[in-house]
Amino acid sequence: MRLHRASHRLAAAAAVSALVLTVSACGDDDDSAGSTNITPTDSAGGSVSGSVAGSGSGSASGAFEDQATGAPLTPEEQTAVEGYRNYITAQVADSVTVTEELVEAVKADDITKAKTLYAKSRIGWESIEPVAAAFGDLDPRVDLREADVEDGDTWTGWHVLEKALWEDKDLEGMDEIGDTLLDDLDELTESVKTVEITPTAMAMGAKELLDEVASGKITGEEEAFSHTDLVDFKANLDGARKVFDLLKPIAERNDADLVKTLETEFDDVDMALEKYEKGDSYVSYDTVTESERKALTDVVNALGEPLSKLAGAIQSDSDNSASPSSTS
Amino acid sequence: MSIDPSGDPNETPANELSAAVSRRRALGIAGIGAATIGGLGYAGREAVAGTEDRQLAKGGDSAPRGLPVAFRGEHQAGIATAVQDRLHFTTFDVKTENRGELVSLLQAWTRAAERMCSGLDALDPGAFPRIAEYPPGDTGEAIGLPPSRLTLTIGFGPSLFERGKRDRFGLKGRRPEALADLPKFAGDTLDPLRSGGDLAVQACADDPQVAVHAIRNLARIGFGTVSVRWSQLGFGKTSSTTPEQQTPRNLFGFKDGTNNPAGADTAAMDQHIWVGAEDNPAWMRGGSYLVARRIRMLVEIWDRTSLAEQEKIIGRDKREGSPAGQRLERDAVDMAAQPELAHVRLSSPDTNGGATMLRRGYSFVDGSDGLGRLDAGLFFLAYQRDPRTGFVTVQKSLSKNDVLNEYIRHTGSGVYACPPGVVAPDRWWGDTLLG
Repeated sequence: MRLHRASHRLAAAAAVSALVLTVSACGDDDDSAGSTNITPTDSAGGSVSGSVAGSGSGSASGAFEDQATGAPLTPEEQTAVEGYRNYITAQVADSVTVTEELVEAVKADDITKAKTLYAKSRIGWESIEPVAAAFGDLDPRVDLREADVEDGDTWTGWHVLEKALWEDKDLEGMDEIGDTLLDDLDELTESVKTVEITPTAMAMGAKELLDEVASGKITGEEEAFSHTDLVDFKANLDGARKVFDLLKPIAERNDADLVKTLETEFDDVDMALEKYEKGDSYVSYDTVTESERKALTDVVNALGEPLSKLAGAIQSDSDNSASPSSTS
Repeated sequence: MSIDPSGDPNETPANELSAAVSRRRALGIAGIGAATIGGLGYAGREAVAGTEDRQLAKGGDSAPRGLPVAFRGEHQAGIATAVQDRLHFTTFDVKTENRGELVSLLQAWTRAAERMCSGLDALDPGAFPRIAEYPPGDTGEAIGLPPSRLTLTIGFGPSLFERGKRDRFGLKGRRPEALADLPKFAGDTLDPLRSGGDLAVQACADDPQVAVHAIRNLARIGFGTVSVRWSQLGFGKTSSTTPEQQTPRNLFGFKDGTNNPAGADTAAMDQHIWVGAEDNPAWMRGGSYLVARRIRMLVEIWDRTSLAEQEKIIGRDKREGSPAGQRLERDAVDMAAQPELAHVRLSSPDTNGGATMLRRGYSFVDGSDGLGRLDAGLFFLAYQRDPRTGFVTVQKSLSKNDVLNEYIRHTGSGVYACPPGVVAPDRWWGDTLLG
C-alpha cells in the first residue's frame, strides 16, 4: 500500500466521491487509479478532514450513489451486508488474537516461534484488506512493504517484523513495532463496527482481492523475506469467495451464467493452490518455479476476469444484455 | 446507478454508432479525402457492417490506409492482403480440455475479430457499458483510431491436435500431414518459451496501437480458456505482397522479399500458397500453412562487414537490390552469376525444387540485451501450401551452407495450420475442423 501521508483519519460519508482510496498493490503514485467503495462512517459525525485520493472524480460507484439517493437496501441486500459485517468482524478478531501471540513471541525474543505465527497473524487481515483500505492510512501503517517506503516515511507494521525475523534475524527495536501494530489493529476493530457496507462495495472489494493476488502475491513481492505469499494468496481468495457466496442470490437473478462460471473458477484456483499445501500452511514461495507461477497466474486470470463483472451483475437494473460479454 | 446523465436505455447502440462515426472523423484527420470515404460509403456502424461495403473492401485487399480490410472471404485476410506496417503476433496454449469450451472461444473470437477489423469495439457493450459498475467490454485504446487495415489471422499448432501422444479434443486423426513438427535444423538455438503454441493469431495493421488493441482484447476474451504463450511485436514490414510498391529493407539494410509472389497473382497463390481443392485434409482447403521464426540478427557484427562481403553473402546489390550480375532489382536471378553460397542462390526456388513461400515478415527490436547489443532481427512469417516442400526444404539448404548464419540465430519457431476464411455469417474460425 502506498498512500499519501498528508492525511490522517478520514471521517464522514459526505463527499464520498473524494474518498477514492487505492488498494492497488502496484505501488503506483496515482492513488486514483484503483478505487474501493468501502467508506468509513464516523459515528461522531465529524467532517471530512482531507482526501487521500489524488482525484475525487474518478469513481462514481453504485454504492455511493445508493447512499446519495437514499435508496434503501432490499432485504436480500441487507442480509448480504450483515453477513459480511459479521465476517469482517470475525476475521479482524482472528488477526488480533494471533498477532497478540506473535508480539508476545517477539518480546520474548523467540524468533522461531514468531516465524510460525507471522503468516497466520495476517490471514484475517488479508481476507478483508479492501475494507481496511478505507480507513485513512491505517492500511499502510500495518501493511506497507519495504519497497513502497519513501524517503522520510516511518515504516511500521507486519513487514517490519517480517524483515527482522527472516532477514536481520534480530528483534532489536521490534517490541515497539509490535505494540504499534496491535494498537493499529485495535483501531481497525473499532472502525469496522461502523464501516458503511454496500453490496457494490463488497463486490468491488472481492475483485480487488483478486487484483492483490495477481499483482502482489503471484510475483512474490508481498512477502519478500518470509516467502509466505501463498498464505496471503489463500486468504485473499477466501475473502473474495465469501463475498461471492453472500452476493450469489442477487447475482443469480441477473446473470446465472456468471455465477456458474465463478463457482467453477473459484474451485479451480482452490485446486491449483492445494498442490502447494504443506502441513497446515503452504510451501515457501521461493520454491515455486516460474512455470508453476505461470500456471497459478492462468487460474487467477480465469477467475479475475469474470469476478470483475460481479459488481455490475448485482445492480438492480442489470440483466444479461448489460454485461460486456463475449458469448452473446 | 448509471453514470450516463441521459440514462437512455438504448444508449449502447448509439454509443457504438458514435464511436464508429468518430473513427470516420479520424479518417478525415488522417488525410484521406472525403470523396474516398464517401465513395466507399464508410459512414458508421451500419455501413461498415453492410454487405456492399464488405464487397468493396474485399475488392481492396489492398484497401487504402486507414480503411477496413474485409474480415470475411474465401481465404483468411492477412495472407494475400497487402502487407501492413505493423505486427503483433501472439500464440496461446489452450487450458481447457473441453472441446465445447474451445469452440465457444473460437466463436467469440470470430465475432470480436470481425468487429475490430471493422473498427468497432471488441464486444458489445464495449468501452462504455450502460451500467458503470461493469468493467468496460473493450479496453478502449483504439477509440478514435481508424480500422488501419487491421487483419487477424488464426492458425492451429501441432500441439492442438496431440500433445505427446495424447489426443486432444478428438483432433488427432485430423492433423494434416503437412503440419509436421519442424525438424531440428543446424544452428537452431530455439527458446521453448518463444516457440510452439496451440493457437496463433497474427494481427497486422498500419497503426501499432490498433494491432496491440486487437491482440489484447482477444487475450482478455480468452482468459480461462487460453493463456498467452509468447508474443512478438514487429515494427517494420520486410516483405511486400504488392510488387508495384517499393520493396522494404530488412535490418541488414537489404531489400527483402523481391521475389515474393504477389497477393493478387491468383495463379501463383493457388499453386504455392493456398491449400488446393484436391489437397487433404479437406478442412484445410482454402487455407495455408504458416511458419514463424524469430531470427535474431547480430547487427553489430554485420555492420562491420564490408559492403562487398555483405553483397556477396546476400547475392544482391545493396543499393538497387538487383541479383548478382544483373542491373535492376526485378531482373531474373542469374544462377551462374550468384556466388556459390549466396543467400539468394540457396533460398531460390530453382535450388529448392520450386519451393515458393509468401513471406510476410517484420523487423523487430526488443530493446537490447545485457551485453549492450540490440536484441533485433527478423520475425520471419511465411505462408505456403505445404511446409515440407516449402520452408523445410529451403531451411535445410540454408542452415547447412548459408554464410549468413554467422550473423543470425533462430531463437523462436512455430508452424501453424491456418484454416480457410469464413464467409457465411454463421461461420467461425476453425469450423471446418471443429464444427
